[in-house]
Amino acid sequence: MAGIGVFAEITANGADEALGSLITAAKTVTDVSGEEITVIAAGPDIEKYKEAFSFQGVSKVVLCDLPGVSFVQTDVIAKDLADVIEKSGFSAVLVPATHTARALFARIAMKLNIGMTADCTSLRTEVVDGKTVIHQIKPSFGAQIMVDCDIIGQPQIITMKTDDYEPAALGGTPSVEVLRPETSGSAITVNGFEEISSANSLHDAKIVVCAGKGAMADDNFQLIQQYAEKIGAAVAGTRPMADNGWIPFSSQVGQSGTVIRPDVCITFGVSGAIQFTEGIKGDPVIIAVNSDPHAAIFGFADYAVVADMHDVLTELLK
Amino acid sequence: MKIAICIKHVPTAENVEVNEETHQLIRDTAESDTNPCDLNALEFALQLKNATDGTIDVFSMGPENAMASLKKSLAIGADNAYLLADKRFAGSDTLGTARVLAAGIKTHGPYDVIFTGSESSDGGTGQVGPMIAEIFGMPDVSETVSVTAADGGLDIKKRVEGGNMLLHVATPVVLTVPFGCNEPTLPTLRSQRQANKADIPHVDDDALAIDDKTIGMPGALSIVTDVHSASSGRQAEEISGTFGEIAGRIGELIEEGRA
Repeated sequence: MAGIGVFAEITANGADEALGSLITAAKTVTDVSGEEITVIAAGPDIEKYKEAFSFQGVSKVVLCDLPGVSFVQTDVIAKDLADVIEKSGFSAVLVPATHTARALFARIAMKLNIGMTADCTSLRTEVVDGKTVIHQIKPSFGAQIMVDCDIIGQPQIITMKTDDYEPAALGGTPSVEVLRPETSGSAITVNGFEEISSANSLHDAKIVVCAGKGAMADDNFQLIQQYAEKIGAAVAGTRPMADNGWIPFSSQVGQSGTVIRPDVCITFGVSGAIQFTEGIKGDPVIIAVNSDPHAAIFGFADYAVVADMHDVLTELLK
Repeated sequence: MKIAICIKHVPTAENVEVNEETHQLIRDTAESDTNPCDLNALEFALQLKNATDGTIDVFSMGPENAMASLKKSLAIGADNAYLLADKRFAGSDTLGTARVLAAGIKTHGPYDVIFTGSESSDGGTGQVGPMIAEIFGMPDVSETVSVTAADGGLDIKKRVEGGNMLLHVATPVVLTVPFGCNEPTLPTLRSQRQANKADIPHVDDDALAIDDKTIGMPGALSIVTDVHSASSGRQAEEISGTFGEIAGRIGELIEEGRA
């Protein structure tokens, strides 16, 4: 089963919704290489996902049935998935860039001694001497820099941020293979789940006002809070704001914080590092206020206000 | 409880630029610090040390300036620190980095718990911690946001979407810790001054039994071929005018978005 493998992550909430986009990313490879796409997944009651994984363009679905195994038991799952990948002859496996999936595949990469890149946002494929070569492009060092990576050898493991890809359509008719490997016991026991509601209020807010480092000067943050109250918005901020105690960590937006999906987001003094912008999902209208005309946030926002936030806020509060 | 922690000395992200001709990163070496979430990992290590009368050994792979982070760790409460430094380590990808760190840890182990931060603020792969776990055949828990010693193992909260998974894990284990999940202890002037005097050993390749072909440039399977400034090609529409006009337009946009 040579070709491109796509990992379907299953968490406590079921199958990860990024799978469709990941398949679209895989198609950009197979359109050039002519290979087939195989979806692979592992977990308990795995056969129930058969239809959820039947995207158009997928030739095969390989399901590793692991009764009683939780997705957090990466010590067990890594072993079984590594076996599948080793036998597959895949030229590459695409993996969603989530915390658990990347930990799982880091183990697999070490187990099989195969190369792994992280958080790629696009792929460029060519065929060189009959071999599929996938150039991987990822952001690094904050917002400003893009890195091109190649992996030596195959299969390669590529974790991907797929926000830029439209999800593939369901309705394919792939063949389905169910594997039932012997599983060893995990050193990890699952005792329960604790819901966190506090993070959800920001997560569900329709309008969010975000404060960046620039808000630490003068009474700027106070004005931001007043403005948020005036328009009925939730207040959030960047990591430096949390780091310096201006906002609680639960209100920190970004890669290492909360993900928000508002309708409107207004940022004040936010530079726009990718660690922050990764935390804004769902295509809101973004209005950025920053005195630096070259701030990276203006490449991310829909509307730019190049001005001192104090002047703008004073006017907004009138 | 015998605890190891891996920390990374990183350039502070905002100071990094690209030389457009050479595609090399221009790093202001003066502007560097401990990777932020490594301090959150160190905080959990301290909590476990205090609760179990344990010890903490800190390992960092990197050039000489990583000494600053090791000394900071000692000032915060770690007991021993080791700098894994050798030009043969340079150019390691995540596989090589994990092998070097694991070899250093093995020399002073066995440990009950090995901590790393969730990811570095420069490379940001998040791979090294789980790779170390794989080398030792230990379980790993990523996104650890709480850890307490219990029943001969550890009770752990792992952050996932919507809440925390409540886990119990047998030791030895590798735990990776995200930024912001606790409030790191900071060094005091006095403890930092004391730590600055510490004689931190350098550990080179010869001291570690690693196959040189599996680390550094020769062992790297993931290769950076180009580095360039990002331009999204997208530019926001500018709202200009008097402050009154700007405020008016912002108000309109919010009402449109709210509808």
